[in-house]
Parts: sequence; structure tokens; C-alpha cells
Amino acid sequence: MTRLSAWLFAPVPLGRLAIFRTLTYAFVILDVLVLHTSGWYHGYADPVWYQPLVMGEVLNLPAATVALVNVLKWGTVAAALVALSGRLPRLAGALVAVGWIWYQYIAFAYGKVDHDRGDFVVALLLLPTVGSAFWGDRRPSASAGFVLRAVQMTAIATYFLSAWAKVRFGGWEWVNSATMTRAVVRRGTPWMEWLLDVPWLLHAAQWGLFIAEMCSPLIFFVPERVRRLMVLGWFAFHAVTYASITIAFWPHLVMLLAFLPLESYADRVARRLRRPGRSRPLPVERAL
Amino acid sequence: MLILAALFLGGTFVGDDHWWPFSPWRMYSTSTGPDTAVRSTLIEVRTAAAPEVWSPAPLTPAQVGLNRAEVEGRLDRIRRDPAMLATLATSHGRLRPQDPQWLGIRVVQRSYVLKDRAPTGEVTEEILAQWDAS
Repeated sequence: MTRLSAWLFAPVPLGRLAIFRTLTYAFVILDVLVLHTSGWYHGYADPVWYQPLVMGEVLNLPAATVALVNVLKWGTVAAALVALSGRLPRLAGALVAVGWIWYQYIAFAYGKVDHDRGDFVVALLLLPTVGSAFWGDRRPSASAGFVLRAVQMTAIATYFLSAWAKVRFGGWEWVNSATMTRAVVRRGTPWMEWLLDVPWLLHAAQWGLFIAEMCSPLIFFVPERVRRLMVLGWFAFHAVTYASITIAFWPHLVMLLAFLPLESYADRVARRLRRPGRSRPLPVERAL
Repeated sequence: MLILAALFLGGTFVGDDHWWPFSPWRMYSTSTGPDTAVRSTLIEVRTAAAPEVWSPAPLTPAQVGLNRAEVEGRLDRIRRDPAMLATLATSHGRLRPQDPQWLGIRVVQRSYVLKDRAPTGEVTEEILAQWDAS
């Protein structure tokens, strides 16, 4: 048990969490305003199309109206801007969580649920548990470590449990079905339609994806270098998916960043930005 | 932590989409038979600009407040009660007041026939429901 909690609460520099938090709240703004706008349009749909989810029944959430979607949209953006500034991290973070989750609820309570947002919900709920954290802050923090660990685990659960969902809904024969052909027929991009002429490739891709998803939890048991390669592999998978059928799990892609040493990347970028300012070494440095 | 894990596991093995955010991660989880047909739904409309002509219209949130999958998920109800389509014309009028009004909507289902996981090129069309403004 102590080993497990040591792993769950493994300290990370607060600066890493600060960067992750910045990326998350910046993504919230992008998502609400640009990427996932169907919830806003549901304000205009007739309530006859509203199909409350369990969450809506428990919390007694009403069908969307134009006023409600506008309040949620702009309220979430305002709270995210405050959270981005680093002020009131707990209050602003909690407001973002409520606003964003409700806005997603409205998007999903009209008959279609997207399956790429579970880990983002966990991140928004847990981020406010860490108080002030600023870029460049090197103090180790167990609570920051826990938030990132929880996000990592939900991100990987997305793959692992989606493999089991395939078994449950598609049966073990999913790997030999024409599911990827169906996806390309329905939403294939013009430059990927050639895939339909090589059905064995999509068939093999189904096996590959299923095996990768089933084995995804191994990421927690491999050396750090391999772990980063695996994260890179998932990014590559999502890039190919986007090129083929223009589906991207945007919030999930942000969550995958929880695996990476963001603060050292930021340091590297900062060093490179600083360098052109003094392209020639100073005489003192040369002497050293 | 344990509660979250239990909810996600429960969602995957017992729950359905209504459990969101703990619903099963089932994107493309169903099996499509190698020799079946892939169905795709679209709408066609008659507008005030051309009241006699049925022409395809985008089934997107920006046009009708709903997307294709949301309409596809309610096909049974739409077939029983085609008047439900009238609400799409109303939403379209609110979202795009500058566009010609929709006077009629019909739901068309296209089927692309597959053989050995590849499309044969055969496509059939069926009109599932129709509403006309009276």
C-alpha cells in the first residue's frame, strides 16, 4: 500500500503542473469557442430532441435555451481567463470545471455522446486541488504529482477500456469486422480514400489498434525513455486518424501531455529564445 | 480515486452513453459485417426559393441545431412522427434568418453495399420520413 501511494503521490515540480494547467485552461477557451460548439447550437434546437443523461436526471438539469448556452459559454471562458492568470486557482478552477462540464452535458444530451472527454473531466475536477503554482517553480509537490498521475491513468484507461468496449459491443470478432472500412466510407478524406482499395491494410490496422489498446497499461511499467516513445506513438496514431477520417480527440491529446517533463521543454525553448539576443559570446565567457 | 475507477469500470462493462462522463469509450466499437451495407443519413429540403425542388441540405448544428448522428439516433421516432422534422425548419429559421425558409424536409438513407470489406459501388436510397409545411 505504501508503494502504491508513493507511486500515486510521486512529487513533481510545481512548474510542471503550472504549465499543464495553463495548457488545459487555454484549451478550454479554444474548445468552447472553436472546437466543440454543438452545445451552443443545441440552445436553438427544440426541447423535443433533449434526452437527459443520468447526470441531468440526478441534478435536474433542464433542456438548453439560448440564454443558458450563452451564460455557460461566456462564463466558462471568463473563469478560464482568470485561472490562466494564476489568480484564485481553486475558485476559478472550480468554476471552469462546473461550466465546462455542464456545457459538454448540453452538447451530449441530444442523442450523441463523444468519447474523448473523460480524462479532461478528471483533470478539471482535480486541478483546483493544487493551490498556487507558477512556471519555473521547481519545488516538488506531491499533490501536483497526484493530479498528473490521475490524468495519466484516465488517459490510458481511455485506450484500455475502449478495447473492452469493442469486445462488449462489437464482440471479439470486432478485429475481423469492416468497422474501419465503414469509418472511411462515411467520413474518409479524399486523400485517404485509397485505403478502401486495400481492405487488408484496414483489417491489419484493426488488429494493431486492438492489441495496442489492450497493452496500453504497460506504459506504467517501462523505462522513462520507452514511455515517451509510447506517448509519441499514440500522438502518431491520432494524427493518422485525423488525416483519414478527420476525427481528433483534442482534449485527450492535451491530457497525454501529463506524461511529459513539460518544465524542461519550456526551459529548452526559453534558452533558445534567449540565445539570439547575444549570438556572440561575451569576452569574459570566452576567457572562461 | 477508487470511486472514479469504479465509475469508469462500471461504465465500460454495464453502463451506456447515458452515464457520461463515465460512459463506455465505445467509439467505433461495433462490428460491421464484411458483406453488409454502410448506411448514411441525409436530409433534403424544399425552400421558399425553389418550392418544387428537393435539394440536399447540410445536417449540421449550424443549420438545424443538431448533427447527423443526433438525428440518426431518433429515426424510429421521426418515422412514427414526421412532424418532428418541422422543429428543424424552425431552428433553421432562427439560426439562419437570411436563408430562404424551408417548406419541406425529408430524411433519406443511403446504403453503400460492401463485399469482403470493400464497397462494391452499389448505392441504394430510401426515403424514411417526410414533412411538408401546410
